[in-house]
Amino acid sequence: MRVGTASIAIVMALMVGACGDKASDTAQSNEASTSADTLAEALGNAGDLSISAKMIETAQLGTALEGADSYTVFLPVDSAWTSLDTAERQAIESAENRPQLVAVLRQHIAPGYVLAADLKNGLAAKDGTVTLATMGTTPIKLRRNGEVISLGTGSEAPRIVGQPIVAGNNVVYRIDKLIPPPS
Amino acid sequence: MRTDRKDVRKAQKDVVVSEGGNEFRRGENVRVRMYENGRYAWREPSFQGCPPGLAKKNNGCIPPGQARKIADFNQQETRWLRYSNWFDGNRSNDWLYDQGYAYRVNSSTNLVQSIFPLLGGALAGGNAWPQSSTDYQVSPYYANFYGSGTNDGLRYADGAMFRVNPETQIIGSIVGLLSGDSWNVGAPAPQGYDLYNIPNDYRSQYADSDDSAYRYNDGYVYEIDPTTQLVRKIIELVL
Repeated sequence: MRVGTASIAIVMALMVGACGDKASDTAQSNEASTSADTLAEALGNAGDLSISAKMIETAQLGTALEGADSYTVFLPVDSAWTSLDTAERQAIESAENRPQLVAVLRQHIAPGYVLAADLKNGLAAKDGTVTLATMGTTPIKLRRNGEVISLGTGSEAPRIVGQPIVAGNNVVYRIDKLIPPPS
Repeated sequence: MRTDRKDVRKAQKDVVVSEGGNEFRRGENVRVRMYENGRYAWREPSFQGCPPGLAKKNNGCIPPGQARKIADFNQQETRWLRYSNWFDGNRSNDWLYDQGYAYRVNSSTNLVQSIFPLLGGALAGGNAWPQSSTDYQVSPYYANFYGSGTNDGLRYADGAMFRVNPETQIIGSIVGLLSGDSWNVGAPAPQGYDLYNIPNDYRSQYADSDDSAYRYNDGYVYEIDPTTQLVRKIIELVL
């Protein structure tokens, strides 16, 4: 199920066309999505996902995210990680607590390949709220409020930042916070 | 048995070590809360029950591709919230975590009932696979989807697919994550599939229309009747 550069280009063309003149109706900016052949390449190019890239490596999930399956991944930008309480971040990053890091990351990974146009169309069809299954404990509720798409509600709810990155079999969305643990 | 669930102490576990070309057994300190015959003791994991990653989805102790063969096998009582140890004070009452394993504790007796290896803990690259080689084998379909066919060392546990060296039983890598969601023909799709999510290579073949909707999960495409919202067909992507 590897995706070649040519097929990515076709998808990108379709995606840009699908977003078209109503792109401003969504939380997405008018910038075109970027693409890469692999997730590692995409994260290396991104600049603001270096800590997420390190976390994926620490969690040993890189191979899974480059494999036969297809995922939509919501990755916190670097500032989301650095803004965590020091103790929380140390707990997540410690080798002893790796299952917890894996648990956190799994909650940020959804099955399948959700492009910007799919998100836009799905939100429009469902009155601005959709539910997305995850590899973690609970599904994510995505909500559109004007120009903003949030994962969950409340002040701790992460927001999608900019356009997604198409990376091999995966689509990567930047988010400005980690998904908070369930209460 | 101890009445305080936080009472975790050291015990001796026999491990095989290799030095100077010779192998010998030695005692290694491990943290345990099992109290047997007047002392704290290490017991090798028994793996009774379901891995937490599967139990949360109510589909029994088997990989999702095989789960649909089993009638509603509810294991919700073994639920373990993966976030429970992320922040202090947010622990599930029934589960403890230690040394890469989740321990289920009977709240009335405070005895450890089950021990499960966790992804990223015991189930991590470089560790020995913690079950006998016949446990957690994957279906032929998943062996093809995630690997090159049967007998190539794929194993499933805690919501993930692993490549395990068949000779050494050492975990090489995590090759896939699975949601474990249960899909059945004639039933509604599970929660969480509002968005079209077909992988790139299959979009032209399985495009949504007025007659059919398609969703992807754990290596399968599911055809859904747009009117009734019931699953109409389960489609395998590899032969």
